[in-house]
Amino acid sequence: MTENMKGLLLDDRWAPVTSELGFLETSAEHAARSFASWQGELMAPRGIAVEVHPFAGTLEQALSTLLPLNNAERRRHLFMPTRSAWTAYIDNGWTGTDAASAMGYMARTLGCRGLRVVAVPHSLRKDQGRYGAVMLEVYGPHQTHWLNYLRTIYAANDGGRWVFGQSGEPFPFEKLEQYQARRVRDRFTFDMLKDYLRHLGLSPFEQDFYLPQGASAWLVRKTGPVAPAQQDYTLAQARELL
Amino acid sequence: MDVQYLERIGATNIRVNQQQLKLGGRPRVGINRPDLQFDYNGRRYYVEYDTPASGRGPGHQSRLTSNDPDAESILLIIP
Repeated sequence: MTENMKGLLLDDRWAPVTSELGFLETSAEHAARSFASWQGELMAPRGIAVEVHPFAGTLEQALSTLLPLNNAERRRHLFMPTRSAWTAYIDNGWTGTDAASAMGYMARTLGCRGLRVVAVPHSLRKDQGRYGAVMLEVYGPHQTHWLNYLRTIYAANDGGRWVFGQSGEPFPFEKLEQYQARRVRDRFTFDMLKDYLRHLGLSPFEQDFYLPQGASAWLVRKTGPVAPAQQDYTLAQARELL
Repeated sequence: MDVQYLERIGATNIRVNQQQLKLGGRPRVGINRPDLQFDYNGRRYYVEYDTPASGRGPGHQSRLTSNDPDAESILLIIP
C-alpha cells in the first residue's frame, strides 16, 4: 500500500526532488558529458551555456548542488555513480525530477538501458497532499511497441482514482499474479518495486547505494538567460506543496 | 513520432492523454485530458488533435486556455 511506504530514500526528506529518479546503465561521467553535449547544442541559440562539474561529498551534499529548484526550466542536473552498473539522474524541477524525457532519449542515443522510478506516498486528503504512485519504466536503445519503452508497470492515483497499467514483455522475476489483486493500488506496491529493482541490480532507496568511496558525482549546470516565468524555490518551499 | 521528436529537442514533462498540468509539472489544473502536453523553453504547451468534422476542437482549446492562460494551446486538424 502506498500509504505505508516505509524505507523511501533519506526518509523522503528530499521529496519531491527524490520522488522520481532516473537511471542509465553507463558510467556517470559518460552520461553527464553526453547529456551536456546534447543540451549544449539545444541551448546555444538562446545564449545559455552548459557546463559539467565534478562533485565529491555525501548524498545530501550532492543533492544540495541542485538548489535552488526551478519551475519553468530545469537548470541543474545531477549524475551520480552507484554501487552498480547504473548511474542515477536527478534534476532541479520544483515538483520533482522528470526522468522520462531525458532517460528515454539518452537510452536511445547512448545505446543502453534507462529507467524511470517513481515512489510517492498517497497522502491526499481533500485538496491537500500528494497523489500516490508507484511506477517503473524501462527504456532500451531501440524502437518498441511505444517509442523505446521495454516495460512499464504502474499503480497510481490519477486525480482521485487508482489506476493500474502495464505494457511490454514482463521480466521473469515479476509477480504477475499480484496484478490481479482486488484493490488497484495493491497490484504494484512499493515492496514490489524494490524487489524488481533489486533483480535489475539497484537499491535506489538505500543511501549507501549512491556515491561509492572515491567516486565523484557530476553536476550539469546551465547558465545564461532565464525564461520569463522562471522562479527559484527552496526545498522547504517546494515541500509546502506536498 | 511527435513524442520522440519532443524528447530530442529537450521538451520535458511530456504527457500523453493525462490530466492537465501547468508549467513545471505543477499539480493538475483541470480534469480534462489534453492529447499532448509538454514544457519547452520555459513555456507549457497543450496540443489537441481533431478532425475537420468533429467540431469539438475549439471547445477543447478554450477549456485548456481558461485553465492555464499562460500556456500555448495548439489545435491540429488532421484530415
